Amino acid sequence: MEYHWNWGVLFEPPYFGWLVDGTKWTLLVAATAWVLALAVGVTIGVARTLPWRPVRALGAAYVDLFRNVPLLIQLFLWYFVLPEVLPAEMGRFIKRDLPNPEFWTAAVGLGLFTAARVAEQVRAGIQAVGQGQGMAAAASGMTLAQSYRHVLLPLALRQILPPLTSDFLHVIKNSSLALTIGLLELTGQSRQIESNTFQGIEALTAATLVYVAITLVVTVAMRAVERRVAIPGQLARA
Amino acid sequence: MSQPFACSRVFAAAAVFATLVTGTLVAGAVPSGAVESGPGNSPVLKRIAERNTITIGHREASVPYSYLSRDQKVEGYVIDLCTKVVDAVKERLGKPDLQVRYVPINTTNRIPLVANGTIDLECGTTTNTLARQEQVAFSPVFYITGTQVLVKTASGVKEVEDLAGKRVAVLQGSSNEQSLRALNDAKKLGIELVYAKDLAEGALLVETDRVDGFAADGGQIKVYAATKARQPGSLAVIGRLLTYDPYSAMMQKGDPDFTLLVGRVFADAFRSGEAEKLYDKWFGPLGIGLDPILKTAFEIQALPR
Repeated sequence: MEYHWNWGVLFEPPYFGWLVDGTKWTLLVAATAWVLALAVGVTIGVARTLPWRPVRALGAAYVDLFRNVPLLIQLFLWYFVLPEVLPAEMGRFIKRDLPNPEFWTAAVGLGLFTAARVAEQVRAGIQAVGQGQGMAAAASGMTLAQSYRHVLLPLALRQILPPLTSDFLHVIKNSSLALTIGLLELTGQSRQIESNTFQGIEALTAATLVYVAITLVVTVAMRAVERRVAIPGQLARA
Repeated sequence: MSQPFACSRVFAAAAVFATLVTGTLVAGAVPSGAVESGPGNSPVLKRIAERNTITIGHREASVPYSYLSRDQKVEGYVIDLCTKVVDAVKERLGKPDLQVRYVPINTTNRIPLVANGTIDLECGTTTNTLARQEQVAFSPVFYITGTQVLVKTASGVKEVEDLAGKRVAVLQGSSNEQSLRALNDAKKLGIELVYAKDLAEGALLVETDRVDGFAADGGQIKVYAATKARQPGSLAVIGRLLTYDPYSAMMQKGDPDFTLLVGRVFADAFRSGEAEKLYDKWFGPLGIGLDPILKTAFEIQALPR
C-alpha cells in the first residue's frame, strides 16, 4: 500500500482545532444524553416495579420500543420523519428555529435510547433488593413513595453502579452515530480531516485515542463514586 | 571499485541489447500500435489476473454518472467508460471471462479504498485535484463541472451571496464543501454548513426546508432538479461556478503500466467519438447537451496512439 504518513497534520491549524471542536461536541452530546437517560430511565425503571398494572405495562412498552429499534434508525426517525409528521409550525421550529437542531436531535435520540437500558438496570436493581425491604418499609409506616425514596432506590442504585458505568461508556461511543445526521462530533471531524488531507489513518487514530482517554476517565471516576457511596458491610463485591 | 563498475557496464550493455532484440521481435511479431500482453510489471494487473476479478468502485445515487438502477444494476455514463477499460484489461490479460465485482463507495471512503487496493478502478464522480494526486492516480478527464447551489425555485435566491446567514447543506468531504467554506470565511457570509451523506439526502434537506440551499456539483444537481423534484420545477440550480471540477476515474498510485492502459482507453474513446456518443446516450434524455468546454476537453485529450 502506498501511503504517505504525516502525523504532523493533526497538530496543524485548522485540523487540530477541528479535533478539539469534535471532542467538545462528543462530550456535549454524551453528557446531555446521559442526563436525559438517567432521568427517564430511573422513572421508567421505577414504573416497571410499581404495584399498578397499567403503569407497569406502559414502562414495559417504552423499554420494548426503544430497546428493539436500532439506534441509527431512531436517529433518522427523529431527524427526518418527526418534523414532517408534526404540525407545520412545530416541524419548522425543530428544523430551523431551534439553535443546533442536529445537536438536540442527536442528544434526545441517544438519551431516550439509552434510557431503555438504564430502565432495565433500575428495575433489576429494585427487584434485587428484594420484597422484604419494601415490606419492612411499609411495616414501619412509610408510604410507597417514601419506601422508594428512602429504602429501595438508595439500595438499588448502589447495586447497579457497575452496569450503569457500562451504559455511560456506551453513550459516549454511540454518540459517534450523530455524524449520520450531520453533527460533526469527534468521528465526524476526523473524517472531515481525512477528506481534506487524505491522512485518514492519522485522523482516525487520534479519534480513537481521544475516545479511549474519555472512557478511561469515566471508568476511573465511576470506580471512585462506587467506593465513596458503598455502605460498609452491605453489598460486598467479589 | 573498478570491478563492479565494469560489471554494471556490461549488464547495462546487455540490457540495452536485450531490449533492442525483444523490441524488434515484438514489433515484428504483432502489428504496430498493439501493446504488450500479460500483466507485465503492473501490480494492479497482476492482482486482477490472480483473482481473475477486476473490482470497480461505483456510486449508488449519482444519476446518470454512476448509480444503482431500480433493478439493482450498476450503470451510467462513467460505468460505460469503465467497461471499455474492463474490455481492454480482458484483452491484455487474455482472459475473456474476467469477472467484474462492483463495490459501492462514497465521498469519505473512496480514496482510502483505492489507495489500499480494495478497488482497482473507481468509476464515480471524483474531482481530479493535485492534492489527491499525492495519494492516487487519475484517468483523463471525462466530465467538467463546478460547484453550484440547489435551492427551491420559490425562494428567489439567485447567487450564493444571497444565502448569507442561512443554512446550506454540503456533502461531507467533497470539494464543494471546501470551496464554500473558503468563500464563507473570505467574505464573512456567516453561512451555517450542514453535512449530508449523499446527493439524495442533500436534496431532501432542501425539499423539507431544513436548509436553504445545497451546494454540490452543478451537473449532478441539475440532473436531480430535472428528474427527481417532488413537484417538477420546484427546484432550481443557481449561481456562478464556484469551483472548476474536472472528473476522473481513480486508481492506485505507483502503477504507470495500468495508468497508461486506462489513459489509452480514454484517449481512444475521445478520438473515436465514442465518449460523445455515450454522453448523448446518458445526458440527452435529460435535456442536457454537451458543454462546449467538455467537447474541447475531449478533443484535447484525444492523444494519438
